Amino acid sequence: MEESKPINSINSSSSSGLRGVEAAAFLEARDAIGPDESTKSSNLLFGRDSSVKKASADAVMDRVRTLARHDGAAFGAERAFQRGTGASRSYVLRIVLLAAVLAALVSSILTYGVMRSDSTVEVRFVLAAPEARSVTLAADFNGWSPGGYELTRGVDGTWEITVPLRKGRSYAYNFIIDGERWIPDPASSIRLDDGFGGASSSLVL
Amino acid sequence: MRRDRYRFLRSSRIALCFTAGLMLASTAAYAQQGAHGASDAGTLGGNGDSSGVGKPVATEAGGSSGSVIGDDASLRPMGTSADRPDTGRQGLGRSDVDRFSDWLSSSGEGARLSGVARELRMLAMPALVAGVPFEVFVYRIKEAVAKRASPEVIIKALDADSASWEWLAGILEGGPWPPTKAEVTLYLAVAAALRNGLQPVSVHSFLVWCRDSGVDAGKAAAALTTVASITTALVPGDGIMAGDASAILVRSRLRASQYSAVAELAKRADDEGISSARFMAILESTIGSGLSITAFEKALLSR
Repeated sequence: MEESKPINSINSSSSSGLRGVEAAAFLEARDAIGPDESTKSSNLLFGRDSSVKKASADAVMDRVRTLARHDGAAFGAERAFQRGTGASRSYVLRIVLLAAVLAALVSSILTYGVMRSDSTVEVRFVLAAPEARSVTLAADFNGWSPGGYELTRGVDGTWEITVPLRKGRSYAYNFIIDGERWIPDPASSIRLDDGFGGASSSLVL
Repeated sequence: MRRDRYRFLRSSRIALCFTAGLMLASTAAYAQQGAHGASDAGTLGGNGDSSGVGKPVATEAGGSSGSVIGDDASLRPMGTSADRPDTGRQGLGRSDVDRFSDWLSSSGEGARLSGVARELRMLAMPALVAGVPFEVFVYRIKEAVAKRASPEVIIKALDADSASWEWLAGILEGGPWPPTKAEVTLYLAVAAALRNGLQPVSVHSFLVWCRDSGVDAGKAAAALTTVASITTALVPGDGIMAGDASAILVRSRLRASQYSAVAELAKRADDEGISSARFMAILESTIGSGLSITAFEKALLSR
């Protein structure tokens, strides 16, 4: 008859499979010693004597701790894996959500910028006046200010300036040569009497 | 952790709502601008010392920089009425009188015309009471002062313009057309059109049609300006042609920016000796029928 090994001496080397093996071995051992002996054995394990009880409880707890240390690592790893899996899934979702929000935001800003830029058009005013010392642009869009928009002279004697203007409107304008002579745009096809003895050109965008 | 997650979700919702709002605003802005189609802009200019060379060349540079409209902080940009309460034109007459008077008293231009300020107020009052925006007077006075017109010339010109505007205000009857933002443009265009020979009866019929049809006020103003130049080029003072031509342009598929091409062709037609009657007939049969500028040019200049 094989003597059953005390539980605390059973070699435990991790894994729940080992626990199953130990349990089977225990039951087998108990069955081997017979019902009375198994009862005694059970009494040994679950004895009513306090010292025995304590000893058995200690033995059980030692065993539990031993198993927990080994399985706990696995369990902890499993828990960590599960946590990690959930965490990584949540993390990916967060990243995707953030990316979607950022993409929508950037897209909206770009679209709005494009539309804003579409509402204005840059118009280049050019005047060939090689003899002029200065040329300015006066128009209703700058309050007819004589010193409003100064044209830049090029090497070939042409003067030019680029002005952003809103589409869908018409504008009246003149060039001022040397701060004194107001002339309509010679190349403009729309020229109208301004009511003050001169003429203005008109631009329709 | 739960709190952090809640904060993240809340922040995400706020960001999503802001993004959705921005997209809606962008869509609304785009709808308001309308589909203007392909870009076209102008390089305008010519020879200041001779009869002029060149033709406006379409170029467009994207983006915008600098001040777009106006450099007078006290004056609303032309064509906009950001500060004008939308309570109906008739009810604004009194306040516009005060605002015009205040502007005359406080502006540099008003200071230079202090000798005729009383006359200016007197000639402007009927129009302002009738609902004419005071900005149109300001724009014209600024132009006059910048061009160093004499006070007498200014008074005469403003008197004629004021009558035109008061007449226009009567046609518009304080109705919803034109939109507030396009008022100043239309008033200035009508004054220019009448000043350049368009007959009031022709302009009247055109404006009534525009008012009743609710057409784009900017296009209406551009059409009047263009036809005024065409009329000058072909048959001075031909009112019947002017009104019809304006309506043809507005009803056509042309963009307002293409109206200047029609004016250019009118000058070429005049150079070719083409009569105004033929010009009108071809304008109506081509552009009036939805055809392009190219078709109009081909029909007009081919023999």
